[in-house]
Amino acid sequence: MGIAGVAGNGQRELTEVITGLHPVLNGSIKINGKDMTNRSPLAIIRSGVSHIPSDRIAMGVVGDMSVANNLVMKGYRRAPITHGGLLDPRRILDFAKRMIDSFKIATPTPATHVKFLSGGNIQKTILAREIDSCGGVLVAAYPSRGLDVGATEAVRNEMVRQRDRGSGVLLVSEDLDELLSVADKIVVMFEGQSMGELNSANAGVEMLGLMMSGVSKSKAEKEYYGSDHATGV
Amino acid sequence: MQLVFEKRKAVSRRAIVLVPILSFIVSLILTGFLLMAFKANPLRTYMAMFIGAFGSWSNFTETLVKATPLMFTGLGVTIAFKLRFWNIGAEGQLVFGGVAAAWVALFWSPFLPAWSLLPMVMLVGMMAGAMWAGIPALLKTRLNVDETLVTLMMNYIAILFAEGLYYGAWRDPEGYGFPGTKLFPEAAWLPRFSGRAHVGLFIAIGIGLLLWVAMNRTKWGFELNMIGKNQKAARCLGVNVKRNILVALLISGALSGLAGVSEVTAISHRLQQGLTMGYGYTAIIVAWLSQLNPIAGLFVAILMAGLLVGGDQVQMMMGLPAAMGLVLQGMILFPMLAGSLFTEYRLKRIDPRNSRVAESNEELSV
Amino acid sequence: MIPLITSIIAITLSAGTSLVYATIGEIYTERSGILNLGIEGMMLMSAVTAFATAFHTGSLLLAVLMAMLVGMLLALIHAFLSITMHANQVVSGLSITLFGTGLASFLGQRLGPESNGFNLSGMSAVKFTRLQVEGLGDIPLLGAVFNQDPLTYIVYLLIPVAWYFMYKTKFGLNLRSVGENPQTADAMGLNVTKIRYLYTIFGGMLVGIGGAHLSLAYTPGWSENITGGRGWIVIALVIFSMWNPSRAILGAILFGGINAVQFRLQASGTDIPSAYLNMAPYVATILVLVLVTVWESHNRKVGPPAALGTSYMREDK
Repeated sequence: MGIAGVAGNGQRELTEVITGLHPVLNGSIKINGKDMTNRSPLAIIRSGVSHIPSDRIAMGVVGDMSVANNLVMKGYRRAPITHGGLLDPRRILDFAKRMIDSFKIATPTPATHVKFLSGGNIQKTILAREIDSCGGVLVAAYPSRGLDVGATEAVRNEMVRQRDRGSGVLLVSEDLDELLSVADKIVVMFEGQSMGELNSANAGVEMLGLMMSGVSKSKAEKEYYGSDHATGV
Repeated sequence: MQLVFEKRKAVSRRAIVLVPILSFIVSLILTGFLLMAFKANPLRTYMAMFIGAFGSWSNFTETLVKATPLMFTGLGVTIAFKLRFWNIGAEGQLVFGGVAAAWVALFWSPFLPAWSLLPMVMLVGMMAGAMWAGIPALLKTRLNVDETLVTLMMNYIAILFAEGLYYGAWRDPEGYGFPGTKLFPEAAWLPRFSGRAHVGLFIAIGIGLLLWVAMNRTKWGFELNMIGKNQKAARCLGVNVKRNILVALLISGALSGLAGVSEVTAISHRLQQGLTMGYGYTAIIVAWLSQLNPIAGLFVAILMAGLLVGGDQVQMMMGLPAAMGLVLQGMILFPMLAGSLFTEYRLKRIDPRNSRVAESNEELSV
Repeated sequence: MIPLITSIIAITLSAGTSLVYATIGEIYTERSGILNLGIEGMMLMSAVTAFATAFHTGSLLLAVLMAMLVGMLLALIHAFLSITMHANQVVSGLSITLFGTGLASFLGQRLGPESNGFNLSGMSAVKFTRLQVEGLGDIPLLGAVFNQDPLTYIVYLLIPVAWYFMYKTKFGLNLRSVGENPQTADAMGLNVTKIRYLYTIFGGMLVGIGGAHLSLAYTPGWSENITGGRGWIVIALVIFSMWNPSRAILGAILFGGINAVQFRLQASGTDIPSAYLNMAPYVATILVLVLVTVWESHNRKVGPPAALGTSYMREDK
């Protein structure tokens, strides 16, 4: 599932409501069949939701802690990281090394503070942690924003792999190519409202662009196909 | 040649150890100039201070006497600072702990078996300290009221409250007008082991070690660290920030409260004037100089206590004000703060021949 | 009754004077984005300096100038640590207070006459006296306003000038933009570092005058707790006045008034022990702080300068 829209039309708020960071004013949130409306962020995490936040430096990592520690910021609550009531530094390191290898995070050492990494590697650190701890739902807000080509590719591939593994992926993005290549279904948001849902198979960039500027689905369809017709393409 | 700051690739471990030590040396040098301005020989003064604080076992026990409350308050402040919660109210938490200890020691003894009096004194004293830190923590987490000011104002309130008691309702009627309560019953005395040095020292060391484990090896410490370094991210990752702040501050206040308990039950054996020696403020220096490391904090507390005892000695021997020790303490944080930059940045020379070719040519031609 | 109220007004203004100087100083500093928690130490240092200078030279002008200089020097240390060295501003300010408290205590025991064991406390020196404004000073009640010492009269002028400078001049606009958004200010060509240094030191100068007023006018003389936490109350007053110099007067009147009522109650011999009476300003500070914070959280428009307490490093962005 993809969410399209020009930034600032309620997409970030949507992800933060789902992850429990903002209160739900009306409506309800169901995760894996359980009602999770207005539960704490921790309860929502426990119900299986992973979150790649929109502001990766401010919300996704603790810059002044090591890459290894950042990688266990979900896993520290349970075994094997916590062992006999204490955190086990050796297990943290082992886990971190595995993650660094499998997600190809470029860091001098696992003990390097995250803030010294490049944006792409910070994002890979978040991705590694969130995907490893994912229990069925992945909420990703602008995951490839500001990244170079290689990192963007890696992020998208992980999204697709997650989807193929059967997880629900909610991808919020401004990048329409990304949405079309990753998402099966796309909802367009404008001024906090949904403008309609599309199948990415028959949604074109122009169509999405129209809806993102506030044109409703039916009208956009008419205009889109209508104009196609007129130019005779 | 030009110097600029360049970000390091990783935090320098060497700088973390060296900066506090160098800071202490710089502080000695700077204070040395002050001493010279008042026609005192810095080397002789420092020697006298050192001998006064560490020169003999009996002097050293006095240093340990002052180090004990500094350990408690320093550890308490460390926990709060770890969260970037600026608890500068250790002084008030200490006093309030002392007041509560006096209350139990003076008025509960008829109702309690003797063996249980001291544990009860300590427990209630800790609870009182916790309460005194809990109020600003609640105001902060519920209403977002600035904790720096509230904790500080509560220092004055606690000090005046204690004053009101030992000058007023609790004043010893047979004390010849001396501002203090009656002596506590002996069951409420914390045992001493040498001179005035008392078992509070071992409790403090034990808590310091325990705290190191808690801060570095438990989920609690891990969350504390996350909150202190990035509160927003901690919340996103499911950490209950408000509850953590409240719990940490209750512990922080309880430790400072314990400092007050040990002062009244082991040193003065009554609540009296002079309970506030500034330990709560020096605790800030202990916490920051130890870089919020509880074990380092134990040693720094002994060092700071040495400066206080040394200052007293210098006053007796050389007629210099005892506030010397405070000046030295106050001076330490300046180089420390300036030096912290070097753990993350380093000075880099920029060769003007590369960056400013034109200017260097001019210089050559002159 | 009227003479009593007149005297309360007079004491209120006199007690509030040092608070207004320091509050306006700190407002300017905070508006540039620098939080200075060193006020208490700076006030103590300037109070002891002013008194020692007055004692040894007999010159009030020199005493105030020296106090200003000391305030500026301590502010310079804070500026260097927090602006150039990017140190944590809370801890830097706290260490200014710790250092200032220690050094002031040291100097107070060292700068006095030999006959008094070099101790300054218990000594007396020249001090500011009340000057009655011809004609106005005799009016009932209002007369109290015109029966003050010179430093209080200067405060009457300082408040509108400080307000005008901040809101009606280009310099004031630059100051506020540096405190709100240093990145943008930098991009606009303002020298963020220079402006922050300037106003931190300027703030220190005003704090210095406030300290001098304590030891030369309000409670002439030197004692180690002459400030009694005024430096901290000032930090609360800055929040109370919502970073607007013209409102500094309200807080100063409130706290000056509490001082004055305390003073009168003690003089009239009440049953309340003086220790409990002396708690009033500190309890009031907490109450005011809670009320203002709650009120501000419902009024998004007011609040601290956005960049307050954060250091600015160009390479970071």
